[in-house]
Amino acid sequence: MTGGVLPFVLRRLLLVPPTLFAVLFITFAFTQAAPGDPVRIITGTRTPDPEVTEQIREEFGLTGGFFERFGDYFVGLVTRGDLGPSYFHRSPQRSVAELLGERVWVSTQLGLISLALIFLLGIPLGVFAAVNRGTWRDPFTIGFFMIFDAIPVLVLIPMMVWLLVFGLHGVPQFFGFSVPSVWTPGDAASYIVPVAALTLPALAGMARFVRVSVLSVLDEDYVRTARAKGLGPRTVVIRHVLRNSLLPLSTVMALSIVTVVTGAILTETLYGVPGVGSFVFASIGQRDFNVILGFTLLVATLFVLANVVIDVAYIFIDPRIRYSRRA
Amino acid sequence: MSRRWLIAALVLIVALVGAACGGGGDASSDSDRATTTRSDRDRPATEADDDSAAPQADRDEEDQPEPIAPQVRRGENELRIARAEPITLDPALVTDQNSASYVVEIFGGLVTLDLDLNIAPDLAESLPEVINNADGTVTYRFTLRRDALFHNSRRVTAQDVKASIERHASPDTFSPTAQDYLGDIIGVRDYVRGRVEEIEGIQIIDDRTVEITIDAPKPFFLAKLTYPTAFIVDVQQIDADPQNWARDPNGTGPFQMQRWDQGAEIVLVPFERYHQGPASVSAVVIRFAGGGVTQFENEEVDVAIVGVNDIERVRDPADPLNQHFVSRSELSVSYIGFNVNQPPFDDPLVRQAFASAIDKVTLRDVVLMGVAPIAEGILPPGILAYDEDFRGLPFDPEQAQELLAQSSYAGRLPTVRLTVPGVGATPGVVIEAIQRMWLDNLGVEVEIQQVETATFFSELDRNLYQAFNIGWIADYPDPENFLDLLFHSTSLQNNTGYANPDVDAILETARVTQDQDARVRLYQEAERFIVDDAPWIPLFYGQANELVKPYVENYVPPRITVPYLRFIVLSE
Repeated sequence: MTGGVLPFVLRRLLLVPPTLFAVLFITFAFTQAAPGDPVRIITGTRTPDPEVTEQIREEFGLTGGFFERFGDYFVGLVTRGDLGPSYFHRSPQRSVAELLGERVWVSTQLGLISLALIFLLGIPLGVFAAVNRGTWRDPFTIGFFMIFDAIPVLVLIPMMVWLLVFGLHGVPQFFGFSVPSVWTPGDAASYIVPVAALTLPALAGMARFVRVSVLSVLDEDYVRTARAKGLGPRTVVIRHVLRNSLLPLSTVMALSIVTVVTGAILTETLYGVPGVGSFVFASIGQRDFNVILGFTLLVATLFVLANVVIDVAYIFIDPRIRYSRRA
Repeated sequence: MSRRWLIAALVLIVALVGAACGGGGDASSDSDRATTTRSDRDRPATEADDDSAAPQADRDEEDQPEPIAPQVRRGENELRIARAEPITLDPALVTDQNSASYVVEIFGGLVTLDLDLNIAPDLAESLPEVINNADGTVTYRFTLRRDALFHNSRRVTAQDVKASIERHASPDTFSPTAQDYLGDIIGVRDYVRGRVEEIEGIQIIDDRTVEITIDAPKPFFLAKLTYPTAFIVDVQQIDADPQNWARDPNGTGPFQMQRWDQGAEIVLVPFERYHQGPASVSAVVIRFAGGGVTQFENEEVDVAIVGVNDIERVRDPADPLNQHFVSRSELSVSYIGFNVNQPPFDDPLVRQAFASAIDKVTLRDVVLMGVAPIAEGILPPGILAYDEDFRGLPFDPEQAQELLAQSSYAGRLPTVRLTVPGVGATPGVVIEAIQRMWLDNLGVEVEIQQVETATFFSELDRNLYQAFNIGWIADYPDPENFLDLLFHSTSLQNNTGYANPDVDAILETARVTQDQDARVRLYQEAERFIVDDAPWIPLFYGQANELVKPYVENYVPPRITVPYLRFIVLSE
């Protein structure tokens, strides 16, 4: 009934290219169907000479039928790894890879710091709530962090800027930083507001997830056994409860990696972070189709690969899991 | 152990959010600092050497101990501005005002506009000698300055002038503006289409002398040469790296690029050998991100644009920001345009009725809190031929109803839809108020359609809208740039489809009229015709609102995009 690990991994990997092709094709079709014209955008508010428009259209490879254009794009992508030029940023000409690369890096830094904080703070909070089940501490802990989840980022960031930037005037020794009101390149204090805005709203969710998971394990026989043999409550929680209740977290972790890279539109826009989320959002307004396609492809690739990694990882994490050959 | 850990984590979070409340008692920010007096210096002279004089600021405060250290480190003598990132720095490709504001500081042309918007020599020694040829063409003879240099210290020659303009107009450059701005030069129209190898109308006489010949005597032609499409570029640099040269362009302007961090900031530094004298500041840092007003409050920038949302607060005299508030007029006008070929606005009476039903005074005083000057006509103040005494169609509800009753659509008015660009939750207070006025004063319920900008302009080109609300800002300060470009029946920029043979005839005469008074009269006559025919309802003239720190002296941004950063002196 069960196959080896390697054939399973291969089978999963074989599904990756067709999935990505489908994503690419559908996104390409959407961009072509969208109203508005990238050529018209770059000529600004002036009505361009139709002859000039036609020249630019040819330069961009926007002439020809749908399948011809999709074919050109696909061939360029597969043979040269070329995501195409940006229509909007054309002098200096910036390739999609360059435009996305720098910004993905900014978003990733913030995302990773925030992800680490969410796990480092969320897990203890969830365990704390679970072991205090039935007391006021449980709802209070979760409830307190739910507040941040409930406040939209649109409100949270101005509040944080107000408190941290203006509220602390004259107290620059706060963590040794004076917090700028917008992202400032090279200023470490710039990270405080966006990281907090990414972390705080996610803590309650993480804590609740861990809490439920811990609670389901707390009633297991082996936990009772551990208690019965006289282990201290701390040892029971760390050695027996946590290890087993954190298994589902590996899925969350793998999928979070995707969101780490893709950035956060509102946080980035509100705090002026030159990240990838706000940039791609702006690119949609500019009909910079190659940027949109490149970004979609990046996210889809990460997402599909993360899923493969989860599936494979489970085999190693939990030996009870086996996959049928006829999946 | 895990419990202690948890407490530490909680403390950290509480510190991050809660402790901030404890720091409350700070009254430091702007109000204390506002004691610096702003010295009342006149506008700087345009001659170079005046500007390089040492800043003469009030130094009264130097003896007192500085009570508050600036919150954010600022480089010595460094000017910081909040402004959007440029889309391009290529003079041939720039179409938006924001990108142009960078281009004019980095590059230069034969001629420029001074701060009063007079045409002044830049790379040319003086204004050109004008030669009227026997065949009706006109030749401008320019002599280049001996000290005109590119940023890499190479001298600007007549060859550079010809090569630059040919590069901008080349079909390979795909310039959206070359035809409009350079099309008067003999041979450019053929050159743009790739039919000829060189532009016949540009002749190199010697290293420092170049002649530009245009097809007819056009008094506004020199003004067109002040626009980026005629700027001088280093063609050698472009040939060496056609795609990426604009990352660090080798221009001839007062500033050169030091750093461009995508999405974050651009740092410009003065070109020390600039032929009109180097700029006074040591660097200009232009930050793209975030709210300018917030950064201004936090001492992170010295100049910021005030958006609609902050206007009310900044205009309040009780607000500490109010004393830094500077408002100035722009050479622009906002309007409602009608498609004169589509019912019901193909009937001038309907257009006039809609125009007479709008109470602009109430709009200004109540809706816009008095910030914007009412546009009676099309030409904004500051443009030659602007007539202060001119009055457009008056607000008169009874007259409006009567006009509608007389029109061919009386009693059978089709659905009227006004299209505006944008993606907000509402089309904006002005448009909402106008919609209400049309309902109250005319009894017509007008639909408002909001269309995302990307789609708006391509649909506008195809004349898909009955009525639309946009604005026009001058490319160069000449009435031709408003009246001819927007209302001549053959102009590409004529979005209303307005075609009046009388107006066309007046505009064509004005194009080649040399006598200034006669030109003014012609354009005023054309403007009257147009306003009466009402293809537009002019609404308001543009107003730019900014916050400027008191130590930023000689901050005199002109009403359209011309170089001005080199005049600024920081007195701190």
